[in-house]
Amino acid sequence: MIKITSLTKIYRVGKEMFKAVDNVSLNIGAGEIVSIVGHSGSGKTTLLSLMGGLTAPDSGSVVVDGVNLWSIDDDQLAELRNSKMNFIYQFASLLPTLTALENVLLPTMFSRRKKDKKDAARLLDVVGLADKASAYPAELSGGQQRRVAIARAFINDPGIILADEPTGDLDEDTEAEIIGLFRHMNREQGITFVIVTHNTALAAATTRTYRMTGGRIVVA
Amino acid sequence: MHPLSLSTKNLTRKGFRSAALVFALALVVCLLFAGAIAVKSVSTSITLGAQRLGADLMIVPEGYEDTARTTLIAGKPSVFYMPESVLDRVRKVKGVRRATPQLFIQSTDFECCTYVDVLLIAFDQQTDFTIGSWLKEAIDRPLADNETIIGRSIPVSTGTTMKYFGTPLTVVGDLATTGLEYIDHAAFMTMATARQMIRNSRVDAEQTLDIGEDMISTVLVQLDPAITPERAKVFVEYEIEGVKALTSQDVIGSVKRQLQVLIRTIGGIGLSLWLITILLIGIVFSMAVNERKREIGLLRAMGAKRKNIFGMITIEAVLLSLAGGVLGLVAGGFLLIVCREPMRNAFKLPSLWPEPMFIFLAALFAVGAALVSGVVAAAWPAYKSSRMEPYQAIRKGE
Ligand SMILES: Nc1ncnc2c1ncn2[C@@H]1O[C@H](COP(=O)(O)OP(=O)(O)OP(=O)(O)O)[C@@H](O)[C@H]1O
Ligand SMILES: [Mg+2]
Repeated sequence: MIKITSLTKIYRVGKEMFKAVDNVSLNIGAGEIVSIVGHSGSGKTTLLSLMGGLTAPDSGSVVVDGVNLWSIDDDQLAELRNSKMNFIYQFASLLPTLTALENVLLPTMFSRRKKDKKDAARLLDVVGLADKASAYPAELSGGQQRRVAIARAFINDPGIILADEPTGDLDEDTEAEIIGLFRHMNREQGITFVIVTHNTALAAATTRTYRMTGGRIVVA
Repeated sequence: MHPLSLSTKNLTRKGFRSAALVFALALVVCLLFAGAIAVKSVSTSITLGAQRLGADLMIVPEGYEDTARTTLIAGKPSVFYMPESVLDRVRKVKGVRRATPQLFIQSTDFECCTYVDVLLIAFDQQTDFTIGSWLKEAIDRPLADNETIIGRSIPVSTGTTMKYFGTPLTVVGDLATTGLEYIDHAAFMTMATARQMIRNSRVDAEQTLDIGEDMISTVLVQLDPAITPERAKVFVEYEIEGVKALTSQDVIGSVKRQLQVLIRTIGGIGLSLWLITILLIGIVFSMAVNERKREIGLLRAMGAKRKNIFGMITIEAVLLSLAGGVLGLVAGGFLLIVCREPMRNAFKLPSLWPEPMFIFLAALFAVGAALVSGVVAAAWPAYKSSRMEPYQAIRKGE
């Protein structure tokens, strides 16, 4: 599903060269739930962004479903991002001008797939926010915003979900619910998950766990 | 959800900022539109005035040059007199090919109605070369004595007989509206009728005309093509004392200078405002795009293509420009209506509206200018933000 080969991402800060991701190779099969753990600054978010085609590597390749992300043009890459994978970010990622429901529907704006308000409302219901459909992000708590973002990640029926600390600001009960949801989606729809987490419970629930230190991957 | 709603929501989110840009654009459009209409209106009046003169020189008694000029361009009726002998002397001046007299009589009594301010213009049908041609559009034969052709503003129908200074005048035709007050309020008659009228006024009317038997108001001159009006003017003024000769340049000149000042002022202000507005929109859009970096990155991560982002920002600019354009047109139209009287007094001009086609084109051009400035100003920020790498955009937006 996702095949990463000798992936390296270098940041240049002034004259310093900094390898945020250092020669990483890994294979993630369809239907897997993989977790990535590691200290802050170890390169987890950078790796996830490379997998999702949000940033170009300095060397190495990312192949998703047989497509090398950096051999296709930008429009094709955008279409691939829209249809194949979705992100759940570490930070607040809702558009402040849109209601919760509209935020969930946002990815459909750029796709040919037919999804309507009913689908969005159902997803909001699944994350426990049925009554907040017409609320704006400013009217939601951090955890509620996070759950809207999670609902949004599923709207386009992506094959892959790349989640960056998805349970970061959720209480234990909600966290357990979200983990349950991920496992449910994985089982029912065969969605592949790559989850960056500090949370041991979440990591334990995954099929495989990688540990990152200083941009390198070590299997935990 | 339509992508357009992203644009409109972004605009309404920053309501004050959007409104400020709309007003700036409206100001430019208002100025361009109202300016174009005003300038066109003034220049139409000037050309009409020159056309009305229909002669190379207009000879008037000394001291009445300004009055005559005002009459021709502003159309404010006024009268002045000089001896008829001027006519013969003019004919002898070198370079003069044709000369024809006119006599103006200002009426203040109109027997049947309350209507006042008819300017009676007598002309000599034998020698006339100026007004005869357009009088011909009203009737297709020479004017007989005691007949008149009237301007459009005199509310009397053909066949009616009016009486001025004890002299009956039968209306045999009327002219189309010219916008020049003295023509629209004029009644044309033969020179013989005018002479009779002066005589009648002494016996048979409430008011006596204090005009001598052998007086005329002006002599209109056509020159040999070989001589310039400027030279002929010098000859006339040198050889005949007590008169001044106006060339069409004289007539138009002063207004033209005022017009040029107007064009330069409006143009200058308009251009600088326009540039400032483009700059302003550019800065505001750069700022707005910067603030929305994360949002743009998120949209890109969700599958928005570069052209979607470019389109979203450009559409915001287009919407702002259109709003500014429409507001500016309304304001400009309002300004034109309100400023019509002051303008008219300042330039001593008749208030002629340009034809609808010109107004339409001016409106189109003004809105087009707003649209172009909006799109041009937003193009660079839109392009740049569409080229950002999604991950960098998302991070930088933090
Ligand atoms: N655009 C950038 N420019 C310069 N350095 C960057 C950039 N993005 C990331 N880095 C650096 O790369 C390293 C890895 O960053 P990354 O965000 O991938 O870490 P992380 O493992 O996700 O950390 P955390 O757990 O705190 O989210 C960090 O040291 C960070 O400072
Ligand atoms: Mg991170």
